[in-house]
Amino acid sequence: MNNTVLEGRGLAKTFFGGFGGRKSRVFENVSIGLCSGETLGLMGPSGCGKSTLARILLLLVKPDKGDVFFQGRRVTGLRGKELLLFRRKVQFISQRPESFFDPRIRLGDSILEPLSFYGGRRKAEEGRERLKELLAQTKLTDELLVRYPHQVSGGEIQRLSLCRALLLKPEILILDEPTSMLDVSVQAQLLRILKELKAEHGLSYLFITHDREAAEFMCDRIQVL
Amino acid sequence: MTEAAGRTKSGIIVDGLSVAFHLPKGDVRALDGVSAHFPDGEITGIIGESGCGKSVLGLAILGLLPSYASAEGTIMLEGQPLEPGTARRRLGRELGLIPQNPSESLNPSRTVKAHIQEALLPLKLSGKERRERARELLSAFGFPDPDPILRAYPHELSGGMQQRVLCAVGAACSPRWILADEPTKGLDKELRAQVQETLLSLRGQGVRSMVVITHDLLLARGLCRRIAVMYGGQILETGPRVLDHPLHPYSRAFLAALPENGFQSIPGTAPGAGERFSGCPFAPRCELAKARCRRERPAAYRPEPERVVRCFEYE
Ligand SMILES: Nc1ncnc2c1ncn2[C@@H]1O[C@H](COP(=O)(O)OP(=O)(O)OP(=O)(O)O)[C@@H](O)[C@H]1O
Ligand SMILES: Nc1ncnc2c1ncn2[C@@H]1O[C@H](COP(=O)(O)OP(=O)(O)OP(=O)(O)O)[C@@H](O)[C@H]1O
Ligand code: SF4
Ligand SMILES: [Mg+2]
Ligand SMILES: [Mg+2]
Repeated sequence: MNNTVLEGRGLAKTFFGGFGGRKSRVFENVSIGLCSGETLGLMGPSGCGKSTLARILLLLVKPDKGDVFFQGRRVTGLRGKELLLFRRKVQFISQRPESFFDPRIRLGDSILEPLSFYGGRRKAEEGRERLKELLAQTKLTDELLVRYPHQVSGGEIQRLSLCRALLLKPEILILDEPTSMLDVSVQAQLLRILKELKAEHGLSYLFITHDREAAEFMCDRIQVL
Repeated sequence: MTEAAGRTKSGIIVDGLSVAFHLPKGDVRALDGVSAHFPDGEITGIIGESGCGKSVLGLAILGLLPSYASAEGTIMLEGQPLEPGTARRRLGRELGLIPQNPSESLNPSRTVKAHIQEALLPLKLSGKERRERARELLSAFGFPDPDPILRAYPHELSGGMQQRVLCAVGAACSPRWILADEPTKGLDKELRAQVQETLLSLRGQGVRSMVVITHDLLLARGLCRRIAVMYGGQILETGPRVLDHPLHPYSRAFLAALPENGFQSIPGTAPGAGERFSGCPFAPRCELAKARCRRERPAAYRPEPERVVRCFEYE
């Protein structure tokens, strides 16, 4: 398909040395293509390699074989400025959202930091306004921003990590179990917001989940690993 | 005084528990006069919106609140006051915790084996028995081949694998009470069913009672006889048939948000932990709210046996 924005071709990954020196082969020859403006679901049993595949597509983990393409260009091994640009355009909500926040830094500073990094002071000011909106949309209050990561609840940090990613106005969002710590009501709200944002800004989502109902509600198609 | 007092002494009785975190920029009130009875020999589920105070209630019972938190009210275990120090000493052996957050609970520089063996220490087993028990635990929580898992470090495991290791660590000593905070998050359907089965089967092995905090309403239905519904730092409803037959307007709105009803959230936002209410905490979002609801806090009404509902509609 010609409107594929993020693609992995013939990917293989084996971890060496883990498990006390064992070799663990995660997958061999996996291909995946995310089209512009779509939500692609990624499902499969625990431990099958969904998060690993996400990390490869995000250029956080190197595949043993295969390549990653972004907007038609090969990006495996990308470095320097270009890698930074890629990182801004392709954002990630980790399955363990707390791991994306420095435990010694206040949440508000962590959330706004990438923005001033990429855009300078003016962007940071705009960001503050936008963050207020995002907090309200995800049913949070800005009182949380002065706290440290261990001072908010599981579902709160999960939503804050989403705010952090959306603030950078990415083109692609990879969501790894983004509602695993949310109740049914906040989950419903969040999924609806994600749909709205997608329609508004033409985002594309790779949506990793174990929740069949959420996948069917969100996704245009589903790939099983 | 409250619904808990005056009833049977068995189990955990929480009475008028308020918890506040004192932060430099002001206090955060996480619990606001929680009273509840978790009966001995039963599995009680706690459900409610994200941020309503479920984990804080669990930490308070186990004496694990940070030093900048203050707590008022009492917690009794089997008729004895449960002070934070006593609770912490009983942790593992008598009171087991399956925590919500793997990254904060698993030490990245220690193997799974080290975690489980440490959890097993109070049992004073021989080396061989300990290894056997560790394997048994892991296979019960869905690892058919436990040996490589025992040698793994936490970062070498997937999210769902870490979750199950936490369950194994919390259940290691077959404590009389287990407090499980989101034990099935991030697991697929089959593993969720397996964790549910395993938790149920623990009851034949020394574990008598559990408190299960969960967003997984299927798990709550399959595991728990009794459900407590929390909102804004309070318990608004408890009883055995809450999931099938909710009475409190909040419980009803919450259960109407189930995915099979088309992903509709409850309109409005839950109160922030900074807010205090003199009346009913759900009043700003409740369709039935009257002037009195905003002024006065509803007492604990008992519209049917074993059911407690804090709403004036049941006065
Ligand atoms: N750093 C590592 N070293 C060794 N093995 C690893 C490492 N990271 C992941 N693995 C292994 O790779 C496999 C895939 O892990 P991954 O996290 O991608 O699974 P997943 O599909 O996301 O599972 P879950 O649904 O449980 O999150 C697992 O068997 C895991 O143990
Ligand atoms: N250490 C802390 N310091 C300050 N506030 C805290 C702390 N821990 C929790 N809180 C606040 O107390 C409230 C209750 O938190 P708690 O973790 O109990 O929520 P929860 O019901 O478990 O939510 P979730 O379902 O998202 O895990 C939240 O508003 C949270 O931000
Ligand atoms: S007490 Fe009033 S506001 Fe609260 S749930 Fe009942 S009717 Fe609604
Ligand atoms: Mg994963
Ligand atoms: Mg919690």
